[in-house]
Amino acid sequence: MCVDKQKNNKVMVVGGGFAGMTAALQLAEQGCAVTLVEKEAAIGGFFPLLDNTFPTNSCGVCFLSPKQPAYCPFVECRLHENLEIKVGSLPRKISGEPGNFKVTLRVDPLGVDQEKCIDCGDCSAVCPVSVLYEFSDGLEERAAIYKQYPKMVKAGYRIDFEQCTRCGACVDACPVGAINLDAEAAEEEVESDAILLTPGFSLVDGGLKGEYGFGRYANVVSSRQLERMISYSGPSQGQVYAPADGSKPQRVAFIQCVGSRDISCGRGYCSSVCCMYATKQAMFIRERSPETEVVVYYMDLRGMGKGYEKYFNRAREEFKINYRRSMISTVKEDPQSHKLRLIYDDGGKFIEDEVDLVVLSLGFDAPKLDFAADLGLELDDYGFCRTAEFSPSKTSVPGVFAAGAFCGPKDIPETVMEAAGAADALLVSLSDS
Amino acid sequence: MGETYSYYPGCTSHSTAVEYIEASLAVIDALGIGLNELPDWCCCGAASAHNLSTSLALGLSAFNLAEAHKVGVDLVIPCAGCYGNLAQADYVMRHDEKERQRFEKELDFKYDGQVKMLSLVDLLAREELRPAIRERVKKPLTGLKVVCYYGCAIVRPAAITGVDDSENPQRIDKMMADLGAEVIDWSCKVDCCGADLGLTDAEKTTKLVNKIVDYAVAAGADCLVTSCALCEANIDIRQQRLPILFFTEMMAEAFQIGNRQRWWKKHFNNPANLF
Repeated sequence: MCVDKQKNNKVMVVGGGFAGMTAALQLAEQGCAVTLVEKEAAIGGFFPLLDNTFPTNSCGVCFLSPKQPAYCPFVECRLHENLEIKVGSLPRKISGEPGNFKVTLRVDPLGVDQEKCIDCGDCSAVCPVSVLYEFSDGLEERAAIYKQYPKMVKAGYRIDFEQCTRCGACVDACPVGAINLDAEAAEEEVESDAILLTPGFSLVDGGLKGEYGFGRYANVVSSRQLERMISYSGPSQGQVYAPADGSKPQRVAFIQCVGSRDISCGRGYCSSVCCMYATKQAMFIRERSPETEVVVYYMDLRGMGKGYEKYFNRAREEFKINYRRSMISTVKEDPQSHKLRLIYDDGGKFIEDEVDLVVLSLGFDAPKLDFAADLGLELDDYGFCRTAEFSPSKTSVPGVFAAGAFCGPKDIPETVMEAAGAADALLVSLSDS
Repeated sequence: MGETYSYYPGCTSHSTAVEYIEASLAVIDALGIGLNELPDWCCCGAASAHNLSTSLALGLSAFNLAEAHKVGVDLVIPCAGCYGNLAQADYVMRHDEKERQRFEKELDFKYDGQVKMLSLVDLLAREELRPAIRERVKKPLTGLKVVCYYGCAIVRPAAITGVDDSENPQRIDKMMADLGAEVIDWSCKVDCCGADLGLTDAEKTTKLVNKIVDYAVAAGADCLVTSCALCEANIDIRQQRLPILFFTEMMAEAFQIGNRQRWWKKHFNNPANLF
């Protein structure tokens, strides 16, 4: 595949998470003119949430990059000359054929000029609005003008126009005049020779399983909230706490398969990463607070990758994490102490366990894409992309490829592998035509 | 209000839950809602029929459903058990074409899905009725700490009852707040009271009931409010720590209507001191 030949090829990658960043870098490195479309204010997907990943317990995402990167691949995406990032954008309609696609993007108003913004934070500081911060599943609060994720390289500020009171305090506070309160949604048409869909996934809502009391009992948290607790950029600088009173929990229980392998809530599939991420989170709890006991209530322990079984063994032996095979039917709260009680099955006997913190290991939801039906994109029963059995990156639409969690729940290593493969398949299709 | 409904009394209204029905009829009347007893209603099958024969259980409820269709207005069913059975039959009519046709033929009626099955909570704890209820309150239940207990049949399964918060229902809670009571959130709103095990396995039922009462007492409740006659009986007769009341009795107390002193005497844990 000669680099010169790719020079005139325009490709679009939809979704700037792990899969999108990997594929975009691969394609840009091959000489394609890549447009990376991201619906949020900045690329990254789930990357900004994760300080550490399994099975290395380090950040370790350098391997996203096709060659030894000088910076984090996440920064490399911004720096690459063949790569243009369009934030706040989402395809509304895709038409055309291989070699000649027209993509209509809906460009959401961010209200903050991403180029001018110097990331000083003065706007958020003066904003009178305070609402729950989606990024941490409501564990923290944010202003109506806010940085969408911490860890952003540059800018990443946006205005939540539904909450904004148009008071103008941020406009006055901004030293560089980057804020526009009258920004409106726009449309933009982009041409592309081939398209790669990497829109990723979302986590199910913890309230989906009402019996566990998420959103009702203060000390029942989602895995997303716990990830923020163990993050150094989180509200507690990496310390796990019981939200009811901020105390350090003495006992923590994980409940696995919340919104996974559960036909009662329309999700019959395994989300494939929760056993591993819960184990990682449990290890970090034990590392940061060795006196805290951790129990993981599970159905099956599913380690899908190389070395994963070893990881579980390490969790058991080195970190003394207790794995108990029992599905938990309900969580009760002691009305005075806010401790949580769950009943597990111990070989036919029911035993009550009292803990200070319950973590719900949330499964994956398929993304909702406006353009899928119009484009004739085949999805499976759950909304994940259906790809060809022996060409796992080919969708039902010629010239449109897919990779990552959009094709079914998967972890980062597998996502990166699949994204690199999809970038290759896309390049092959271009050289064939 | 000018609304009129059909009314399915069920057996408890003539036996263990006379106070429930008297209170319910009193508040319904006070709110200007018309009720006409369903002509020729029969047993809903209770807890026994569906254990013996699915078709018998369905057939009995289908018969009542057919009667309600002949009248043509929504059917109000105070007993949670009766409601569960009738809602189940209604669900089958809506989703099983073959069964629907069979019952339409056998019972000589036409199912059009226009007659809704309503529990008493569906009828009285409607959002649009809240202003009328607040207006009717004569003596607010100020200072009374209540926990609301929904049990099983009026909230679950969600596909049949159409309740979207079946694990943490709110409707009776909101109504008690409207009556001026202090409503306490607690963990056992939809736990099992033992249901018909109350008749066959007293030991298990006592265990279940005590757990519910433990949580209610720990939460600081003065009384427990329910809408199910079987729940009320199970919880009331197996402990001496907490009065158990029907939500319509609470309404009648706040409205200051009905023969309340007579109802209080029908409870094992007399609630008279609460008011």
